[in-house]
Amino acid sequence: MAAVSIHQFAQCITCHAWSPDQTMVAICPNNNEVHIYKLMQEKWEKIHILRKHDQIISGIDWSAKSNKIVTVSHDRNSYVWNQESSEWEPTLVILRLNRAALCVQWSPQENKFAVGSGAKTVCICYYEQENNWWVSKLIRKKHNSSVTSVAWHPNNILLATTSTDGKCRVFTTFIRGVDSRGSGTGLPYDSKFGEQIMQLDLSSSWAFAVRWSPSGSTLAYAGHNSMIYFVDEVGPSPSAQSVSFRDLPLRDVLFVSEKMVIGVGFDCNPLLFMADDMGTWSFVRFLDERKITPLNSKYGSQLLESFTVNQNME
Amino acid sequence: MACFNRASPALMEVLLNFHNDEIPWDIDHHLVEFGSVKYHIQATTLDPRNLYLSVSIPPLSPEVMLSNGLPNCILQDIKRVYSDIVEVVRPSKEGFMVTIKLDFNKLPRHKDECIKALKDVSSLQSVILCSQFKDMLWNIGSQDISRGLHQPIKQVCHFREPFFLIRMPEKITIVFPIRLKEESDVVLATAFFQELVDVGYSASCAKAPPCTWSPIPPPELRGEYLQYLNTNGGFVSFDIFSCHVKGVRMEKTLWILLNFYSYLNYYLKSTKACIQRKMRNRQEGLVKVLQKARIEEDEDNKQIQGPKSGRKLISFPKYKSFRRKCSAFARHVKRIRSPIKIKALNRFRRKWLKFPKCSSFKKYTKLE
Amino acid sequence: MANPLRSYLTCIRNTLEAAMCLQNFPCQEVERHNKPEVELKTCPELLLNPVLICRNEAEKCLIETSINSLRISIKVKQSDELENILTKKFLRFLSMRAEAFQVLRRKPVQFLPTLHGSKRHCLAHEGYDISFLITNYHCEDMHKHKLIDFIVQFMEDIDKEITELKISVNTRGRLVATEFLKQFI
Repeated sequence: MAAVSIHQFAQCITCHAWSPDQTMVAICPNNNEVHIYKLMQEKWEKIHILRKHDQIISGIDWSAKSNKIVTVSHDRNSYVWNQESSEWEPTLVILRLNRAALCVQWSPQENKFAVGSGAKTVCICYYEQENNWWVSKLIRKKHNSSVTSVAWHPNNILLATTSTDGKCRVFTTFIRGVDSRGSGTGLPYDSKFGEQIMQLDLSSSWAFAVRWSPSGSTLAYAGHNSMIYFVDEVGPSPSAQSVSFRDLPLRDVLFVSEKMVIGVGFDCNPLLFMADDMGTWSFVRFLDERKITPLNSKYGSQLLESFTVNQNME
Repeated sequence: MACFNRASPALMEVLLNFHNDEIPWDIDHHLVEFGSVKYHIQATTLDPRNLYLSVSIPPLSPEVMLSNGLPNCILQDIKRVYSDIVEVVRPSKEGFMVTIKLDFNKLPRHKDECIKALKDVSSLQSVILCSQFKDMLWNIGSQDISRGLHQPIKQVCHFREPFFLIRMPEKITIVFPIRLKEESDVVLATAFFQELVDVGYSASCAKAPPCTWSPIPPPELRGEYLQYLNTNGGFVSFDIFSCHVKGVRMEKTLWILLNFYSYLNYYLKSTKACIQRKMRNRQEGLVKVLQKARIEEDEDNKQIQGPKSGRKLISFPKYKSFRRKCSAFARHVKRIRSPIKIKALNRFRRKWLKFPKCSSFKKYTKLE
Repeated sequence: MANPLRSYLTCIRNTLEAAMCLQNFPCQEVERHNKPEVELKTCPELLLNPVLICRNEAEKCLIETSINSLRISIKVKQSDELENILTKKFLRFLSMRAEAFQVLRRKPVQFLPTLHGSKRHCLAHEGYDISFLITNYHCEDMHKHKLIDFIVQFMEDIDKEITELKISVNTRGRLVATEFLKQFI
């Protein structure tokens, strides 16, 4: 299988997000701007530039239902962008961070979003109707290093994080007034905000790219020691599988289904992992048949091309 | 540092100008070369065809005093070399060793011969130096009985470059203690001396004086003051046998030996320049490799930010430093040529900057 | 791989391939800063174990990796005084032109035994001849494999250049010595 299509938006793309209908993509071309491209007559046209941040943008997420874009940047701020008529209007979110924000994700119900930061904290931001204001609530003193990735459980309450201290953690983020108790989570935890449900210390190096499976029953994350970890039965007694592969480490993973994961990383070629009937995960193959030989790789030096390919398949 | 060139280019220029000018003019020039060799050139409109040239050079050895002008034998040599175009004036001008009168009427008519004659006159300093040296060698011989055979004599030639002479019955040994400022010079010089000794043993150079190098003072120098034996580059010695100083060879051998330090310094200088050139080539090659690693956005950018930008970065400081060095050198030249500024010297100044083009370096093969 | 130099360089190349997985990473200690962690060394969890590749006592290469930067320090073989001088000359020449080589450090890394006294610093007490600093920005700008090619070629070229310079100095010395002695004849 080769790439469906290749289009070079910029020399280097630091992060990106797809619009709900997959006709648009928001990218950061390694600076403080977000460029939005739209596919028009088989050609990608730049239709918007979002300028508000003053340092490099480290995370973009585009909400599927409410069509909002959230961006976070090394400048410690976050903006929520609403499309009003044809323009994107920013709303500043004071994250109350004193270090760079590194990653962001909308919760499944899109009433919250989570931001991982270099301040070793996670911000859970929610909208306060009465003040017309995004409020940030911090999970402090749980991480020993920068938070590299955040992922929401489909139940809108559990949040998984990975950090450069090598650990993967799961927290509850129940916020009174925003979440209703027992709102179909099926989880017995009647816990308060910021409580740590689980901590996994599997990786000997930095941990990145945490994701839940569509049902929320499996958690996957990558270690910089060229390992990918799959965790079932998230809770007090989790069961984990470590799968090592012989190639360079992963930077992001994606669940295609409950049994199939794609990882992208420093090899510039997506890796396919699958679980067998017994639930045992293993590396299957590279997604791109021609394993990009160094001599004819034309694009960005590391993982950036892979992202686009990966998302196109979605 | 002495120059290999026997003729002083500055003096030559003045003489040529004087010779070529139709209209006679007054000259009263003082020239200083190598910080210690002084010339005074004088001519008047009253006596347009005669020019008076006075020279003062530092004594070759502290033991030889030349306060009363040059000894007779040297004057004889001057007369012999220049035949009738030059006449020694007595007494010499106050503060100078010797004054000669140059009669332009007696110069050869043919242009090339005339230039050659003027060149000979310009090399007056070297004639005196060689003559002094030769004289000293014979004097050492004559004093053998009274001073004992193996007594070394310290010679001072051009200030900081002393060397030793040891007279033995069958040969004269000349020992050069090597002192160099930079550590890298010492290493390069040591490598050169090893080659020199090696080449000296080869058949092709069998007729040249045998040459040895040793990091410690040779036994002949035992008893000399420690300050003279303190070197970082060891000692180079040449053994001069009678066959090396027979007849016309004498002058040549002496001049080569007198210029040994200059030769060495010039070798070091050009070797370093050669190393620098090679290093620059290699650096440029490496910069290109790194430039190739760049990710170009598209073809247009490729042309703009190609290897050019890297090139610029390197060449700019190089050019600047070269210019700085040149102007410093030119300033230096200016200083040693004061008090009177001679406009005509500009040409030479420029010529001197291009070192390897000097005529006397013909023998020096430029290596790649 | 009969050639020992080849295998030494291949080892370095492979190590660099694995180590050069860098990313933009803002400073955890200072607000709004983004510095090479391998130079700061303030957060031990952001550093990987350094790798020391030795060809022999005199020739080695230390590769230190952090999350956003990589430092390569090289010790070049110098078997005699002449090689020593030439190496020093050449490397100083290159260091002085570090702006032409974006990844070259102006000063080679010196490990002082007193510095923090940690194990990492005790790996090598003596200094290296030349060091490179590669950051995530270089990786964004350049093809990774070509950057590695450059480092490897750099090491190869230094060896080659020193050998060539040595030969050239000796040949030159011999010719000049011959010319000097021929003057007498």
